[in-house]
Amino acid sequence: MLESNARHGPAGATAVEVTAEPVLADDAAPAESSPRRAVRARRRGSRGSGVSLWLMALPGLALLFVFAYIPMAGIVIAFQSYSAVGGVFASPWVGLQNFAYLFSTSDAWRITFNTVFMNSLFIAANLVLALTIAIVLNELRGRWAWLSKFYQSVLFLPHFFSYVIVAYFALAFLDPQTGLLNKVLGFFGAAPVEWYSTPGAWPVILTVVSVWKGVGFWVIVYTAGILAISPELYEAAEVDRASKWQQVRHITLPSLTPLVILNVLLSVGGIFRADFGLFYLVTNNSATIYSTTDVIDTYVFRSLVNLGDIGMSSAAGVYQSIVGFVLILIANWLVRRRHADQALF
Amino acid sequence: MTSTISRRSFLGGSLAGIGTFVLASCTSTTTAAGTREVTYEYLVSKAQPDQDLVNKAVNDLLKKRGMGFTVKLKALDTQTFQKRIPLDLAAGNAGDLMFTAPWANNYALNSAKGFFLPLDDYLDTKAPKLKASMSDEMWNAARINGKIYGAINQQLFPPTWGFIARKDVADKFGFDAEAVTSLDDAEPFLKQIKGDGKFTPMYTDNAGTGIPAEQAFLGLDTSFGYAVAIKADDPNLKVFRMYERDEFREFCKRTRRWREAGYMAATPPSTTDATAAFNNGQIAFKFAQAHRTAVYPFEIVQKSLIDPLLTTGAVVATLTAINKDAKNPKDAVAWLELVNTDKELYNLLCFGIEGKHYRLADAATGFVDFPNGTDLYNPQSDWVFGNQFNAYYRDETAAKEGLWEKQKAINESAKRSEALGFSFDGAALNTENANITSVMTQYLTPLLLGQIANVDAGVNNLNSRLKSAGIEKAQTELQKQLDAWKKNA
Amino acid sequence: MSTTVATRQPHGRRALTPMQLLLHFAMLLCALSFLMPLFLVVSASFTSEKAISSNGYSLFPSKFSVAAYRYVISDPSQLIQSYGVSILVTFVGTVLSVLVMALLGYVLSRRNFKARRALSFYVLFTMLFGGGLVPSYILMTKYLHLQNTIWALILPNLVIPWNVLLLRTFFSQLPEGVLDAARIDGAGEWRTFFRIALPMATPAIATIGMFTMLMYWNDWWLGLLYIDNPALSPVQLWLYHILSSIDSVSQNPIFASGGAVPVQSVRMAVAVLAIGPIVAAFVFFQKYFVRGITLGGIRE
Repeated sequence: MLESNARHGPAGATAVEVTAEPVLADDAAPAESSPRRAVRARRRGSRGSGVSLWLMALPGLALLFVFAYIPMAGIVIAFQSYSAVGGVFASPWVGLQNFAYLFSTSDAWRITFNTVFMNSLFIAANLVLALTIAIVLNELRGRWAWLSKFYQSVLFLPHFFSYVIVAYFALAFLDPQTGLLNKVLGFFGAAPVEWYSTPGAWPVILTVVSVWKGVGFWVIVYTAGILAISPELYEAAEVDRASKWQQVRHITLPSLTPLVILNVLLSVGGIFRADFGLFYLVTNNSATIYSTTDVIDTYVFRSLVNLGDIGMSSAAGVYQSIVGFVLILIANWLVRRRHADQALF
Repeated sequence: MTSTISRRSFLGGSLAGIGTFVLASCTSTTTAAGTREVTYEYLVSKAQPDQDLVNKAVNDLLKKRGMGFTVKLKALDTQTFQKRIPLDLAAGNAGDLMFTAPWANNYALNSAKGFFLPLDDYLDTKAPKLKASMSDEMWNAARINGKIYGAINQQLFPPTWGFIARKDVADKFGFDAEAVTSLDDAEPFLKQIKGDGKFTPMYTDNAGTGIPAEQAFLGLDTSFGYAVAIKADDPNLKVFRMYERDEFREFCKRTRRWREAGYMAATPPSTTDATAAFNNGQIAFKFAQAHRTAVYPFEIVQKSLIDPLLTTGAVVATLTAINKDAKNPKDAVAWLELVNTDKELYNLLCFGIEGKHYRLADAATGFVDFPNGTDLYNPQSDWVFGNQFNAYYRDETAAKEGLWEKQKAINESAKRSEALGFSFDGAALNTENANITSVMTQYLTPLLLGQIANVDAGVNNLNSRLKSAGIEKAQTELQKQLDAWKKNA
Repeated sequence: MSTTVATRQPHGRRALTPMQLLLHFAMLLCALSFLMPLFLVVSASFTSEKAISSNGYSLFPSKFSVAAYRYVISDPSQLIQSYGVSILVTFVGTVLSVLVMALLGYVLSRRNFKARRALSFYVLFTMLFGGGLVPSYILMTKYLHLQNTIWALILPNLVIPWNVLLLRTFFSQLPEGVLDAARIDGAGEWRTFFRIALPMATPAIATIGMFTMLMYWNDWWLGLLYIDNPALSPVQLWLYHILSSIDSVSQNPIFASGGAVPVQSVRMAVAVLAIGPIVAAFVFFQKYFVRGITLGGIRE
């Protein structure tokens, strides 16, 4: 239903615009025959409405140009040996030398793998859980609807806490002597675990923290998506005696597909950037678990903490940007093949 | 100018004023015609509410001293300063005068990159008293590629690594601080505290800073970074990789033993939390620099366990540099001369206005106290502004014994490292620097914290990682520069 | 109106099925685990430092103390001024930001708009590539002269590409027929947007508005970079300064001479003061948002 609407959309809309937009008098050539006039008017009409659309987009585009595109010139710093005399634009060029530290270490593969692997875990876990919770909340919207809203509010609460605070919650759970988790283990007769020295546990721990902190955000987005679905669809389904599960599968999920695709596409673009606070603070920056928790951002931070070299830190950023860019191009291309309309560009 | 000020004060606490301020702010940085202004950007532990008041008093004093300029103080708290200064430098916004150190506004790096003005000529001609207040060997320590880029803030230079312990706990167990001569001597005391169960025996944090630096106890000069060192008394200046020595291995084994004995917190807390716990009196014993000016809320016993050693790194701990773009470098130099020689000006910056922010309790010894509290102005950062030996005393005992004279004497008598005055230029080693730094946080810190069960394997692993990070290249380069430096000296 | 909405909702006011009861139970447990930390933070902020160190966090203060708040609010006029700045920035920023982003997102959602793909790419690209801090700082301070103005806290965050693309997706979900009908009725693009598209997308606007509000409220980074004047310091920046200075204060034991700084409880008190008002606002708006969403949803 949505798709067919979409496919016919553009043609229909152009026709409408011709009638909607008045043709400017001085533009019209009186000598022309009427069929040709109609065609030109149609073109002009769409151009006329295009002007309004351009005007509407202009403030946003201009702000992005000033605050995002102009500073982008600074990418050159990644290829320079930055000095006071040269500044941003006349410092000596050093080619790829600033990138060398990212690849010359034996840890290069490990930090790359950790970044991509952990982010993939977060994306998948957040996506599945947020979708599930949003759908469950929707099912609970009948009786005691206020409870459903209450859940939604509460799920969003962790979003307010900084990772500094979250790190202390984690410690309250994981401290080997006083932590809740080891107390529970002790209750069941298991030996206490030195969590901050147990690398194997951290992919799970960090995923739990990431979901705990982030899931509320996506629950709200997906709930907004669900609420925008026309209730008539569900009413029709009830009449057809469709089960709840069938309603979810055939109405709710398809309607949420564009949001899911957007979520995944944008997340893929950022898969090479790690959440510094999560990986640095929640792990207590414990060196004994770096084998699973050291990611590009923490590695760069540690490496440059003495040096403070802006060329080398922007090199890391450029590296992350380029990989993210390539990945998003691929992902977008894949989406375009199946759902041309949902692709980002 | 005046209209700006009156508008600003009108602002008070009202929101309506913000719009006015937005308009006014454009003009607020310009000064009235005829007066020259020097901006001074530095760090304090905490923003001071009475900053503007003190700034005004400073300018009144400058006028009284017949200086032809005013100064605008821009005090940022430590973290803000560290984040802002690289940006301010890049944007050309940094102060005419700037605080600099190896750990903030990186002195060596920013000097080499050309952000600071070379001071050699200015010091000789415009700041003779400042220049004469320290010997040439001290000034040489501040040389980067042959030039001096910062005025050294004089203070006690040699590190005094040793320990600090709660006096009540020491008394309880009959711990004689004076009898301690090595790290091992402290072990029975730690064991007693552990057995008592009331205190965490020993301070540790997750950065490994609470663990005594082995190299300091063994007479090494480690001013160069890159995990390499020389023996301070080695006239041949032979560079070696310091974590390959047997002493380091033994040192790690002891720390491991201490961790297993439970002397340290199970999960090493952050430096902030660990320090707070110590200051709150929950930790009984701390390896730290002894005989510094710190005042604790409990009585302490302390002792330095090393012979005072003067190295380049120790001398250039804190400095003030002049921006290469300073409009009036002569005024900036005049400030440096005055703040380092004029006690009134210096103490105004350190303690605020007499009678308002502090009371000169004993004019003879220079002991001050704070009957009005320390909330309005008390930046606690004497070492930022200039010669610490011109400061009043916060501690009565220190005032009575004349601590500054004693510290000055230590500076004079301390053993000199053979490499004092040499600065390592690591410009060609940025990649190695980054790699070695990351290897150290990853493989050295757990060893220092005693978290690695198999110490031998851990040390071997650290050293092989350092090799692949390029430590040999750094070693060769340092040796080359040291040899050349020695030949010229 | 709300009763109409209720009867038209799919589930109506029937008795709960066992399945729903089960889901309620699961969600309650879940909510509890999300709510607990909030209680812990509030409780810890009112607990004495010693009690936190020896007993850890608890749901009720084991030893009540307001020392942390006394430390943080040593200067109440500054706190009030900072709240004022934050409210102003959040309000102005959110209104402007949502307007600008909604306009852009709407245009990008228009399937007949030729430059749609190129402009989406233009927006997306800024998410991936950035010039880093130095060029932005130079631009803001040397060319735009926004340092120490309220606009430094608002302008750089007006267009968040993420939100624009989210809005684009929401707008593209609107039934095309209604927008077409509006244009057949002779409404121009602007009219169609404000009269039809915007109200229909209430859930989306409310959601993005809430995220934007939060972003402005929580931001301290722009303040750290561009604001030196305490009179223009938003509350998050001011609290950030308290926290960051507590690090150096606690490491400077001389400061402790007047009694040690209650580091752990101060940290929690700062969290309470920073998020308290916005959590309250969030809970308040939450009701309104959901109702708006329902109305928007059935308008078709």
